[in-house]
Amino acid sequence: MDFGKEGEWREKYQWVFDSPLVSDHPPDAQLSPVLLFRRNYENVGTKRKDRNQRFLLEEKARYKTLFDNVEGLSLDGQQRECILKDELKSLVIAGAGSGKTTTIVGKVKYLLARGSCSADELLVLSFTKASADEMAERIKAETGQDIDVMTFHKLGKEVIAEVEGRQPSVTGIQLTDFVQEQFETLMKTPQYSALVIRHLLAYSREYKSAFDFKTKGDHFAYLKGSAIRTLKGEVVKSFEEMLIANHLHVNGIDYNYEAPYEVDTADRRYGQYYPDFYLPETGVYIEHFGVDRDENVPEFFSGADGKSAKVIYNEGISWKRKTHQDNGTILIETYSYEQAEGILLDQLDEKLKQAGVKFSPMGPDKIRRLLQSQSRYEVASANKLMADFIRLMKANGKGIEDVRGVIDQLPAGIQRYRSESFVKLVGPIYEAYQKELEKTREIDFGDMINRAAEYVWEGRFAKSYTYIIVDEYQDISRARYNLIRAIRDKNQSKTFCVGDDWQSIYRFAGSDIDLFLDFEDFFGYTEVSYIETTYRFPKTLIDLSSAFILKNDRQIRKELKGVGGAVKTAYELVYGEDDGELLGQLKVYLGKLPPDSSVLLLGRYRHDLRPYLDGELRHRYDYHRSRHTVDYRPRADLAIEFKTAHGAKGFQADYVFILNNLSGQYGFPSRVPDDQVLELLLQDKESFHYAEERRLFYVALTRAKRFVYLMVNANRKSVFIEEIEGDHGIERDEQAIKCPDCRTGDLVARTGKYGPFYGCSNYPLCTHSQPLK
Amino acid sequence: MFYIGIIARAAEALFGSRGGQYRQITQDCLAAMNELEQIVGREPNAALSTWSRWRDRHQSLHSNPLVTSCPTVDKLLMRMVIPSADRATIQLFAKVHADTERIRELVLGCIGANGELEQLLASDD
Repeated sequence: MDFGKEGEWREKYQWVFDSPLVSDHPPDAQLSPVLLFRRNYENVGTKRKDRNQRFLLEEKARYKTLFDNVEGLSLDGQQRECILKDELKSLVIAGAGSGKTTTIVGKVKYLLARGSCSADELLVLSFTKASADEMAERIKAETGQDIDVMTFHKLGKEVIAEVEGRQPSVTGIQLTDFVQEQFETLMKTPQYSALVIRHLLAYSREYKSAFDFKTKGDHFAYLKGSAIRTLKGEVVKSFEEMLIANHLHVNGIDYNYEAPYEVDTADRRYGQYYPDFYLPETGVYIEHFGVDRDENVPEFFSGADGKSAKVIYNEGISWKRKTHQDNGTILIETYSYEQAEGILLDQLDEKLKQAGVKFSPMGPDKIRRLLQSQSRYEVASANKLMADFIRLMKANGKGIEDVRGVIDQLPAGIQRYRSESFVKLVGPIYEAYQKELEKTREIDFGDMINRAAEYVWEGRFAKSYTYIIVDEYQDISRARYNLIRAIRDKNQSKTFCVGDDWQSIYRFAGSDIDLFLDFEDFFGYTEVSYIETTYRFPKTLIDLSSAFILKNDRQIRKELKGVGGAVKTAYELVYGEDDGELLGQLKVYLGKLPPDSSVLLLGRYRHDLRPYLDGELRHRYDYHRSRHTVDYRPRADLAIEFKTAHGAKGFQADYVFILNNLSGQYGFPSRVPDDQVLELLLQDKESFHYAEERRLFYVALTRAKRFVYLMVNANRKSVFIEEIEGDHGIERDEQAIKCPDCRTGDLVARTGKYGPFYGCSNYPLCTHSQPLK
Repeated sequence: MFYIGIIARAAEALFGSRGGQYRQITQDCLAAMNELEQIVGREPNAALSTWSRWRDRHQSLHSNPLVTSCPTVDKLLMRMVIPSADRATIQLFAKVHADTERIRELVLGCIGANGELEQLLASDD
């Protein structure tokens, strides 16, 4: 008896229970049917649970033979229980390598054997065609029956075909190419061109204020990772300085960045003064002060001589003002809070005009050429972002007006202005795309799901399913949820969703982890079960990966258990100073593997394999099997394959080498998918830092059956590696000396005009230096 | 305890005869309800006419001012004289008798709900 039936019963007889006859009289004065009803009503939950517990035990015994042999395996206790629990809504939280697919095959086998439904009343949904095909094959092999196993898109297509009486035509438009073409066409119009120029100059990179960082090192990592440089190629000390520099440049105002002040100010205690900007044509100086409206400074600014950072910094501001006043030089001041409020450049223009600075703005063509040469990456990124944005918008069943509605809710400030600017760029491209689809009477993958859901809600899809089983539920998007919900609600189908929130890695494609974590909020009362025995990897790896993923409190806690004997260790951090050394190490470790082992080389990006290739290690693309294989000549017996961490989902190998453990934009964690405009389409942003990348790293770690090697460039270690080192007390033999100032750079030996010294690897952002000894 | 005993004895002295009447009324109400209990036990879906006949049989009991006033008995001393279980019995009888048709529907609802739940718990689903 499921909870739904209990609820229906309660609801049906609520009126009786609420009547004074039932509630106002003591039990010994009641008529016996009334008394019995009252007791039933008050204890129906317990009665149902007791009954279900008995049912579970009876069914376990009755179907023992069936559960003892599903795909040649005997199901474990948790697998059996989750199959038997026949609630209206079930969520099975399954660990990596816990036999999820076998459990689904077992569920289907049981339902058919028991006669709970016929084969054509069962629908199994999977996310990729490959996994759907595999699932269908395995179910057929086990039950001898053909059931509907399909992807969400195939289901959408079938719904549309049935309702419209014809198969829908799916567009062949490559969205990224379409965006590129449209962008180039639109750029020929002065209005759009002006929007693009403004966006690229002011908003192309996601703005983060120095106030957003806890340490100087984190701020440097952001500046380096986001490639914060000016159009003239200067490395500047903040995002805001980059904006100012570029604004001056495109307005034809010549400037020198951090040139020495025209008066010698050095004394025994302080060095020469270097103002941020000097405009040689007018002799104007610009200082950009990193303060908020209350003259506070970022947390990582340091105090000295018993004074707080705020006092020291503001004393510096006063000194600079006085210096300019004493020497009769003109100083323009700008502030961090102006950028946060979105008024920095407008205010700067006012101040420059008041100081008599002449503007000679570049023409759009010149700026376009400049951007194309200097900001090719930014233009390409913006185009990619627009394609992702449109895809995501459709995956969420939203239109451009919905997005504008979300923006209207944002508080005034830089994020809102940036979002508005972005939507002005993407809006016309989205509209052109929709028009093109209408013209050709085609639909895209997003439409396939959204339109199908509409038809089901409208009651136009006749076929009904008694059971809907969803594999990899952690990757569910709002649109897909809507489709399942429509079918479920129309048919009162039972839903059995299986997944692992620890492996939810497709947020960029629209998957919404809230639909998993808050399942009950979306579906109502849910029976939650766990499958926690992993048959893939040893305990040490379970401990490492579980501790790593559970750093994020929002992930659902589960206690993964392993099988087999104890293994001392199942992972190792392999260090190298550079790519060459790491390539050498990879060969050494490959050379030591047992004969005929399977090996997965995992990257965060496809290009991560490149540094690990040479004459002996060669990449080959196997077109038949769509696989990237790697041949290592001295060990031809090894089956080596390369995959990205995303592509490795669902795969496993004896040995795994995670190749990219770098910091920076294209490192692991990657900083690329974090663009805030995508947040307009996604549900509440996860507050935990790198939550999605952490799950992706977890997926990478858990692909190994025997051992994981983490290839670590000692000079560019990722935060994940630093965390693992810290948590597990791993120390490298030759530890680099950390810079005492920014705390993230390493001290490296350099030679200057006064001889050798230690400088920081974050130079020029960090100017710390110290004697060699 | 001592004072409560004195107050109870005083109440008994004041309302003694009334207390005796209430005890008799309670017995009559209990008998009427037992009769209804038997009807429902014998014939759970008994027609309204069966219920009406029961009502008519106990019309004089229901007309007794002690029954009609019982639901509003709120004087402390009276409460002390008539045990709460007795008051509940009288009140239930008064309620059932006053609205037999609706009470029959409620009892039928209870019987249906009990049966349905039993079936749900016994079913294979």
